[in-house]
Amino acid sequence: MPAPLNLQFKSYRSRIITYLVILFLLILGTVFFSVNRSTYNNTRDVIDDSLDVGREVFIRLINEREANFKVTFRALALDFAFRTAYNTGDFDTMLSVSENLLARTQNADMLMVVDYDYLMVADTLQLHAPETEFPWTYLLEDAEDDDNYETSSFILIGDIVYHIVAVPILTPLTDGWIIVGQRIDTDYVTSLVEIISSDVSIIELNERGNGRPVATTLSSIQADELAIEFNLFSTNTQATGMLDLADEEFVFLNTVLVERPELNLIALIQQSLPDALAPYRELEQRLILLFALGLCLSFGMAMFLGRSISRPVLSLVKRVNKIEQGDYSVSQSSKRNDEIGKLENSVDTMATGLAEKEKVRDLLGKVVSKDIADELMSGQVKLGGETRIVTILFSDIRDFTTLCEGRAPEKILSLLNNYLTEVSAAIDQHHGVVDKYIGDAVMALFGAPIKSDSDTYNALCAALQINEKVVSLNKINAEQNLPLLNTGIGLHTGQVVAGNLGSANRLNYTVIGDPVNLASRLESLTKTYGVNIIVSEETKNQGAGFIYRELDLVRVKGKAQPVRLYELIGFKENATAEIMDDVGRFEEMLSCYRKQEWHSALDIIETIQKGSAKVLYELFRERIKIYQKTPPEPDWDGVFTFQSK
Amino acid sequence: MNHKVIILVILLIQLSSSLLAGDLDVSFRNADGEPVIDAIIEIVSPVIPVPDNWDYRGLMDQVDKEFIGNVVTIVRGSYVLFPNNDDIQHHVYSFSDNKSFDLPLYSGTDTEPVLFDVAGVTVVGCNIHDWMLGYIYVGDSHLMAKSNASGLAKINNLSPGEYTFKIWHERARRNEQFSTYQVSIPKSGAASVEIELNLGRDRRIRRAPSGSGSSYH
Repeated sequence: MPAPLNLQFKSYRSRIITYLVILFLLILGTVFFSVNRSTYNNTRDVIDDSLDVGREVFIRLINEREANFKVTFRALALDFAFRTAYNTGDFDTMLSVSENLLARTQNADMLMVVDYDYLMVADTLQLHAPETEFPWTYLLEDAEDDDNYETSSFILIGDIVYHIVAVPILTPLTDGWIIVGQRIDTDYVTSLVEIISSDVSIIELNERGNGRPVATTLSSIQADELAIEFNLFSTNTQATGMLDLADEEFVFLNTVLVERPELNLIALIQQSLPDALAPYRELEQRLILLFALGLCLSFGMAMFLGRSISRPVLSLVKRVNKIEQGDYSVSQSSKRNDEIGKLENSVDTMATGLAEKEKVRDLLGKVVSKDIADELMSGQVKLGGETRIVTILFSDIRDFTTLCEGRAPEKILSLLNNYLTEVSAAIDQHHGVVDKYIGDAVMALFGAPIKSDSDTYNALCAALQINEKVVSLNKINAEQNLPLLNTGIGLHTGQVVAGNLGSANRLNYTVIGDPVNLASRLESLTKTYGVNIIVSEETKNQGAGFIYRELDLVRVKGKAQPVRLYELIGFKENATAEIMDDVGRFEEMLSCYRKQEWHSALDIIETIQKGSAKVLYELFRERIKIYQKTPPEPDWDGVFTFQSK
Repeated sequence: MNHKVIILVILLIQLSSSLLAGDLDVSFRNADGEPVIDAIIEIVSPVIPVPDNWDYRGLMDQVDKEFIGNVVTIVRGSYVLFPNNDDIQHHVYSFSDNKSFDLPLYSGTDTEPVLFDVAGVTVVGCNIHDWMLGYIYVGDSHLMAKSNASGLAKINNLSPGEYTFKIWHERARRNEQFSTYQVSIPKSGAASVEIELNLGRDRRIRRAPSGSGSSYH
């Protein structure tokens, strides 16, 4: 099964032009085919009718010729002098009489006199001697069977066909016949062309059915081909057919002149089909010209129509592309009232709506996180939440209240905004969401509302970047004589309830649960341990690729289960031998500490206490000294319990 | 030639007390058994002299553009009159071998009788009326008879003995025309002969149509 026509177009205009032109060509083709067929059929009908008329006229001419010959020669046969001469038996006299009669008879080309014994008496062609047998005795036998002893037929004398009539010689009994004939040759059939408006051919059929033109108005080449083609042609009376003779088609109509064992003659009335179609060919030329003109006009109209549609559509495409790129400016109205105009208006309306929505989104994005803003803009805002694992980041500026003292509020606000902008940028950059600002503190979420496989990793990266940004910011602040900022960051990963919290009119997307509180606690402990970033064991376990230092095992207030604290030092790829040695020694100290090997632990502290870890080591030194004085319970599990938040 | 001639001779012997003479009855039938009219028989043997008081005159009348008595029998040496009883003229002629003549257009009975002095059959026509056709049978013997409507040709009062006669009919085939037959004439009564003729077609042409005339069929 062939594939359906599936045209691919690059433009709507091409499609319209192609379809319209194809449609026009189909209509033209149908019209042309119909006219052509109708004209051809009509021409064939006209030819057939003309051939019928020609055949009737031809037969009538033959019959009239016969009738004229009979009338004339009946009268001659009655002539007493003729009859007297006939009875003399003088052949020379009869030949003379015959030649005299022939000369005075219009259209007669030969005359013979035959006696009742079928013996020749006279022959104006002088082909047959007196008293020899008349060659066509069957004709006289026909005449003897006729009431008037007459007959008519066609005979072949040599290669020439004669149309003959035999009338009796009465003395007073039928005693012989006068046979008069007219030559049916090319001159004769040519004389018929003007009368019957058709070509005429006389064909002799031999015993094998092959034809031989004995007289024709066709050209010699066509006549030769007719002889070859004729055996294909039916010899049925009034049969019609087509023959291609010398590259010219002819329509034929058959007429049997004589059909008997001795001779078969057929007359073909024929007309040239190209000649008959000649008037239509002129019409055809005009039609082709007209159709070509129509095709050009339809092409032009299709172009105009296509352009009238494609232009505004292309303009709309440009307009939509601009909208896609954020250009919501209203276009110049085309003032069209049709479907295109309505579409342009709709696009303008849509652009206005999108512009307004974008404004809302922009504004919302400044109030809440972009992801939360997107979720709100998506229209899927609903109360309630869902349980999910998130990493919560808390950051806070240590001693911010102290920093504010004695400084202008505007400067403090500017300082804080610069800080919060950097912090928010770091969170955004690592796909976190700022849940809320609490004064100088920031609560951020990783894994809500959008979850990914690397939420914890992103949160750890964001924490490190916040530290870096604060270092950079502090350089600027130092130059501007502004206070330096010290930030503490706490990170914990755990299961929370995330969702829109609030009333139907006023919502806040946030998370709630113990992990939030723990993250906040961890942030608070950064100051205690003197480190920048503290992460819980859950966060550390999910955040590979970083250097951690275990800080402590503590039980925060309000929590029964101890929490293992880790300091986030940096990326593993940035690890130096010094850092790793420091971490190792600390862990060694921590091990001694938990085994209550206080001296060993203090020795280690003494050897490694330096740099930024000074607060940390001091913390443990103080704690060990306390334990030395007041040893913990024998079943001490190494957990330090904080009694305050 | 395929023809059958059935000759049935029935001798009917009738006693006559005073004269010995017999008759010859020849019955002509065509192939369909129908009687044939105007068939002629002529005794050719023995040759019997024509009586001295024989009337040597014959008549072929013309009425309504037809020869009346279109088959006439005469003895050689007879004269035949061709009276014209139509109100138009006729041109009577013959190209026959035994007598060729023509009587140019004439009316009434003013024409001279025509002598037929050679035995044979003379075909007579009218030059202006092709269909008019008459036959004059010129016999050597006066012992001739023409069949009537019943197809019977009869010659009476023949002396008993062996006779030869010949026959003629205008439509008889060539092989039957003038064929001869032997017959024994009884002393009294008749010798009957039945002859079947295979007739050819009538060679007379169709009469031209006219307002009052009839035509041959």
